[in-house]
Amino acid sequence: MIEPQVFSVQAFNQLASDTLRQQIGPVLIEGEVSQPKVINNQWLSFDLVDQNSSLNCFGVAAKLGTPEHGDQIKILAEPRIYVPRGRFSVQIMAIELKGEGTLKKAYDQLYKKLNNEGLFETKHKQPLPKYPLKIALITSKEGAALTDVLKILEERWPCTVELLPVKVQGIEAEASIINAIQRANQNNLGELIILTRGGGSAEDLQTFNKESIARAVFASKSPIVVAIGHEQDISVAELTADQRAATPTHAAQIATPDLITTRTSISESRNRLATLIEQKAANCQQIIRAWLNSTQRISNDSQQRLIASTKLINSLNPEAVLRRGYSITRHNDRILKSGLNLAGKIVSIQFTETKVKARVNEEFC
Amino acid sequence: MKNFAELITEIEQATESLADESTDLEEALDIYKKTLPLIQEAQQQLDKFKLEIKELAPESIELEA
Repeated sequence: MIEPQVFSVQAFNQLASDTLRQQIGPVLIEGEVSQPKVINNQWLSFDLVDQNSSLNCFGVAAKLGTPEHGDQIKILAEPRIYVPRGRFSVQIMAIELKGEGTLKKAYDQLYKKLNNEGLFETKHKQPLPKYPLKIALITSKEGAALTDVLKILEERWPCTVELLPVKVQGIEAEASIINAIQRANQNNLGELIILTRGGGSAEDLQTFNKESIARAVFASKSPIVVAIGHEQDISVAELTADQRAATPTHAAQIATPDLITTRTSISESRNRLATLIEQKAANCQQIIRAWLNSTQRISNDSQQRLIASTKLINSLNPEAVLRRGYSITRHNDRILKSGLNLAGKIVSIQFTETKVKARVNEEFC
Repeated sequence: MKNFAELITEIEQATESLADESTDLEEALDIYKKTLPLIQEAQQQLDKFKLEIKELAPESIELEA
């Protein structure tokens, strides 16, 4: 007979914990929250109860938030044994609220919190690019939203669509969507992001009322349009988005211009521009013509003035009188104004065309 | 180098001096000789100016007659 193995208490508890985790793994458990508390500002702890049983649950408070006593929830969790005490519990990986009353209460609380922080304020809204050439689309690859968005984009605007498929409901949706938003931003997968899904029950849509999703949308560097398919009770993710749309179709319409309208607008602008240029050119031509005419007049006036001065100068040319029989008499290159004391001296006499030298014989009056 | 306005002013002043009866013949001859190159320079500047206007005026712009 094989002797049973002997364990220390700690080793046995550890073995039991590991075995439970390996054999059962992550499971979904539904129940009502009882006596929730946060220990050391770090650990969320409560009992999940139903009519007949109770289960101790714990997890990271910062990640999970704090459900309230009486909330109906569904958790994704792994079984564990707390080794020092041998106490059975489950470690929570995600929490999903259940029940309309619970969801409404959680919505109101989160709305108040984020609103107080100013996350919904218009000043934080980024403008959407007018003519996006690349759009990152975050939605379920099975949903009608995908078809609706692609159909509208194809009709309206030729652009590249980078699809980031995500879970849009259920316990895995939260991490999936946050990861997609971050990936779209980090890898610059679109000039803008559309996050959308079609309609569903309040419980289906509660992912978009998670604080972590709202904050991821708010933190997106790329402008983001969020459209969750319901008209009542706008989700907090939509409120933190740069723009909200009522439906996936509406989101695609908001995100893109209409090609036909844009073409018409460009054509009209081109015509307006051509008319403006023609008017400007005509104005410039008029100004140039006026300037040239004025310059031409200045030029003509100047020419007339120069001609008149030249004529006058020529008429006043002292040498012109020589043609009329006058002559200029010089002695030692100086023009003589008097004939005194010139007897015996040689003078030069300038006529129209010639000069002669002459000796003065005598003076006489 | 003198501009056209300076040249024409100088030419007109020279004309006045020549017309002045107190200007003696010696002085008048000197003024006349010095004025001739000024007239030539003024005419050259004017010709160049006219040519520039002609080059500036596009064919579509007709100047006033």
